[in-house]
Amino acid sequence: MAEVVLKNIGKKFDDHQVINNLNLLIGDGEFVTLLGPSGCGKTTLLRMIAGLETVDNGDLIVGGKRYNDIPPRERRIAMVFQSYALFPHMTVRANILFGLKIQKVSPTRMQEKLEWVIAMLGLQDLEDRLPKEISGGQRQRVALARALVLDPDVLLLDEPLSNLDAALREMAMEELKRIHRQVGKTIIYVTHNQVEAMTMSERIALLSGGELEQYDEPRYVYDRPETMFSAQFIGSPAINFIDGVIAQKENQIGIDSRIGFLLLDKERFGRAGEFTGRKVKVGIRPQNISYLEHRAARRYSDTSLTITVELIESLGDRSLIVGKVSDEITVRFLITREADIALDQEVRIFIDGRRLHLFDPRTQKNIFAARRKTSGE
Amino acid sequence: MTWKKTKIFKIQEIWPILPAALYLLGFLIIVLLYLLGLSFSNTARGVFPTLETYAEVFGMPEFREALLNTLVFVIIGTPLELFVGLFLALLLYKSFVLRNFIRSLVLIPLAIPALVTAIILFILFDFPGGHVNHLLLGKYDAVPQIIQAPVNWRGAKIFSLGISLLGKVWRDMPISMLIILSGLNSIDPELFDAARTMGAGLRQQLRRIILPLIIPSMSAVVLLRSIEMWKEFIFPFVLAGQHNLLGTLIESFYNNWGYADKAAVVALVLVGCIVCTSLLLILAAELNKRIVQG
Ligand SMILES: Nc1ncnc2c1ncn2[C@@H]1O[C@H](COP(=O)(O)OP(=O)(O)O)[C@@H](O)[C@H]1O
Ligand SMILES: [Mg+2]
Repeated sequence: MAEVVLKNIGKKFDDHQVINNLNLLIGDGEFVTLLGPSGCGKTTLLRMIAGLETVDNGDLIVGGKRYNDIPPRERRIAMVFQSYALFPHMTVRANILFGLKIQKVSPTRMQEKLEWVIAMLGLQDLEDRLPKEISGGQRQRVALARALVLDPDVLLLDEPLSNLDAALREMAMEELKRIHRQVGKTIIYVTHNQVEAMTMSERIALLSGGELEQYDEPRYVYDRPETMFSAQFIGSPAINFIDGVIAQKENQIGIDSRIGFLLLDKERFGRAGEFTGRKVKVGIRPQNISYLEHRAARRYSDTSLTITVELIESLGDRSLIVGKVSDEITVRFLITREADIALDQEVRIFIDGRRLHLFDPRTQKNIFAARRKTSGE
Repeated sequence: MTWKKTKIFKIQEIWPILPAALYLLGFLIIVLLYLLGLSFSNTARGVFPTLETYAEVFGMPEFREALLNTLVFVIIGTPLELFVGLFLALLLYKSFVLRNFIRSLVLIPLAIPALVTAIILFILFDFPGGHVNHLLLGKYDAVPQIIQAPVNWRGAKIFSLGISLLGKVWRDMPISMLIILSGLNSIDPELFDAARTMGAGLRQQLRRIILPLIIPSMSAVVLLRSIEMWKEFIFPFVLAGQHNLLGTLIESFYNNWGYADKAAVVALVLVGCIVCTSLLLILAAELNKRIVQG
């Protein structure tokens, strides 16, 4: 049983509040990703859980026990470092067995464990090599093996794939998922890469400036961003934000904005009427804007808009279009590669009224997405 | 033609190293050749070449004593310098609070000329009225009387050489410390974090990570310091006038009229000892590397 609970956790370096009143509950055996931009405190948080940094305030509870003052060696928490931190003077075998040697495990047991972990991670024939004599991907696996062989309650991974090239990274992601299924450990995975977070984790804890922005399953983080930061950080290309006011017009509820009256879907935004007159920032994902003139089933809640194509950027299978609505306002949306659109062409686009995200400009919080699961309780 | 081209190219390459080459020639090769010539002659009888001087020197009790003294100096002094350097480097590496203060404190010996250090020790250990004698005789209130009569520190062989050795080690410790500290600083600190999460305490980190990773710096210290120990001159010259090391023996021979050839022999023996020690140490380091890496 190794549930990890962070209660009002805080950490200060000198005068810099790196982690601020963070609440997080990570279930036993869960795969949770700490996602956030560089410098938002992910590594610091991980190091606090491992016991390498002190917890300035709040409680860190692992498996029902308060861990704040327990030294790292008694924590049964293993960590894979971003640099892997393999011992350069030890062979792969010695690196993997380091922790077991310290614990004075019997040689036969050690051999069993070694064989188990080497088979699981495909490290056969590398046992006698030094870290400098193996590839980056192999190093990452050795670091993982070194952590897993200790049979930890919680496994902490700090951007383990950031040093790998794209192809290797994809393989490693699958392997990590397989290992998680196989060993069933609680895994806390740190990354700044949303694709990794989306693909691998059961829940994502999105951090910014040492605070928790959102804690939810990947699809909900994408579908119901709780904050503007969340909407901005998750999803690619980046979301469009437009200022507006919730209003009623000809019996329709929508948003009076500088690009026109944007209809809101009645089912999705049933309560919108109560907010009439309220200022909002509207978030529209590029994926929720379509441009096809002759799309068969337009919905009543689609808003149509005419834009002038200002920029076309190829993304491989699709292209990103930057369209000018007025002199100051542009929107970004996606087209399939086949669609033929030229620069300066005028195009009609349709904004999906079911998929707008409305934020309070002051609190930056989503007005309609009620917090699905609160963290920490 | 290619041949010509390579030749011109090589001459151009030689230009920049010419001053260094001339310097080496002037101060090393010529001196060494002259020494060799001198050692293989008997100046008193004007004979060259001959092994007579070697035979004569090897038979002299002063020479044997000096060789033995120097050997003891090297064998005790080198590890002492290594351990003091290692200890100070670890202290400085681990302490965060007074780091800069301790660093400047530890560097002080380097700022004082060796001769001054030696003379301070000379005064401290003077007989019969030096500070150490006064201290042990209980003349300062803080310390009770320990000895009944003043000790002639610089007269007794073991004390005079011991004080010289301590002076030498004290003066050189910053160098050993800095070499080892640079080795420590080149270790990725995350290795210690990793070791801690795997249950290693400070002692295990020291034994399994720090020491193996600073073997190269420790070898450098041992090599450099053992050379220094062999050729030590100032401290024994000032503090152990009656008990020679090879370095001071050369000086005392040189001051004797007609002993120049003998001084040359001793100097060459010293060079030979240094070369042999260095070769041995390099060989040991190489073997160690091979064994460690399998
Ligand atoms: N030991 C430290 N001393 C002072 N500041 C630190 C220390 N470690 C991290 N920080 C600061 O804390 C912030 C968060 O760092 P970190 O946790 O490494 O971020 P991330 O892993 O999300 O990129 C950064 O601004 C960093 O400069
Ligand atoms: Mg980091």
